[in-house]
Amino acid sequence: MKIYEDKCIGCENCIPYCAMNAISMVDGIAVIDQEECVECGVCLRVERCPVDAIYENEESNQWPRSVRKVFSDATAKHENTGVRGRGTEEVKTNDVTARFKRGFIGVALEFGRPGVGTKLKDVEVITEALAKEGVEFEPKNPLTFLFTDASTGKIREDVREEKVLSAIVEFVIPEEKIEKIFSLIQEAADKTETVFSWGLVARFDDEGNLPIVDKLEKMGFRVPRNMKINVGLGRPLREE
Amino acid sequence: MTHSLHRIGSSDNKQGDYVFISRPAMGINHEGCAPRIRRSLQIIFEVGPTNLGSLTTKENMALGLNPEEMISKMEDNSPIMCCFHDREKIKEVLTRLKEEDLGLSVVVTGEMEDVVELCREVGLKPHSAGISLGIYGKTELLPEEDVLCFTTMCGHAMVSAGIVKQMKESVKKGIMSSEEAANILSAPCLCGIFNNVKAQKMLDEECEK
Repeated sequence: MKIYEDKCIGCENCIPYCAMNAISMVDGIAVIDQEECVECGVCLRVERCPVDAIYENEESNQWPRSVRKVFSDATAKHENTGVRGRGTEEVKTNDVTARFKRGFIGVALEFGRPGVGTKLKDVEVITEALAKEGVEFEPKNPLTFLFTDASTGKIREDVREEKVLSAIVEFVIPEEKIEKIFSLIQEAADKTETVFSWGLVARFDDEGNLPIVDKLEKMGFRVPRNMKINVGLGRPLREE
Repeated sequence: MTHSLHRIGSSDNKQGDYVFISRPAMGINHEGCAPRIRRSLQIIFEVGPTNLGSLTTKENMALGLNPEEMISKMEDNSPIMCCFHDREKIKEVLTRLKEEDLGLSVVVTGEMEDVVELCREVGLKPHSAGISLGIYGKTELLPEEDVLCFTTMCGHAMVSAGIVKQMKESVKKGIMSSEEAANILSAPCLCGIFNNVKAQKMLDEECEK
């Protein structure tokens, strides 16, 4: 995103809308810091500029800067997945896809969330360690397309420095590997330059209980009660 | 993977906050399902969501979304995203969707015990759960929790800390009502899962402090 210097009247209306704090006043006009801008498009969409001075410049859609938009603008569709947003269908359709089966745990580490942002190279703090442990990253997740080779967890050279609102490291592990993998994630938390929101997907048992919660609490995690629950309305229903 | 999952706040202020997301599974049951998406939306609008949005049409209720127009533009892969502050309303939606057996997957985000009880009342069997383990790393980069309670209602981080702080200030100074401020805050969240009624309640509570 950019702001036409000759149009801006310096009203500052756009400044508070930027999640990355990338807009500031310079010599009486608003300027967007191109390093910090993640191309989310909020400043343009909220239409608070009284003179339409904000615009999407050509570079926003050119590689490698274009990855900023696909990982930050919720309305942008990923070419590789055809799905809008940064992630996958995950728990949303698990009753039909059975992507996360009993005995397995889905893990999502959303780097940059909430509202801090991340350079794509920052995910390597965990992806390289996970790859060494043989973890296979979710093939439908847009981030997986940006590894030089998913078996190394290394991000492509041309996009490493690109900043995005968030990028999700997503994978499935068997329950017996939970202690080992979670310990790697906790180690990564001490080394990262940003924040990450840590999410899991697990199955209910036939009695409507979530056995994983007890296990996590025994491991020392405080498990918030706010959860995203697939209520089993999808058809055809897959139970395995 | 975590669109509505990591909502920050005490259990108290999460009451009256239910996020509803429904979609087909791409490549499995999405082909030709636009009529079922439209029917689900008709049911939701008849019941009355707190907020609802669409990334397909890039609008939400705060931006003046027209339900009929929006419904007509739904495609086979369009997700349905909305929120409710009234438990009875989301219960009615789930009940009617179960009766019509439209076959789209549905997730409800809320307090686990409450959502499981909702499922029991409606006759549904909860299948899987997305669980948040919280925020890790350089948490000193985050704004205060009383700001995160607002910003995290948009899972895509379209609602900035800056506009939350400005709206709080405006309501405190009497420049605008909490309802107006909540609507301004909900506008950037095109998915429509920003619960403006909850936001209004939190703004009012701050003014009373």
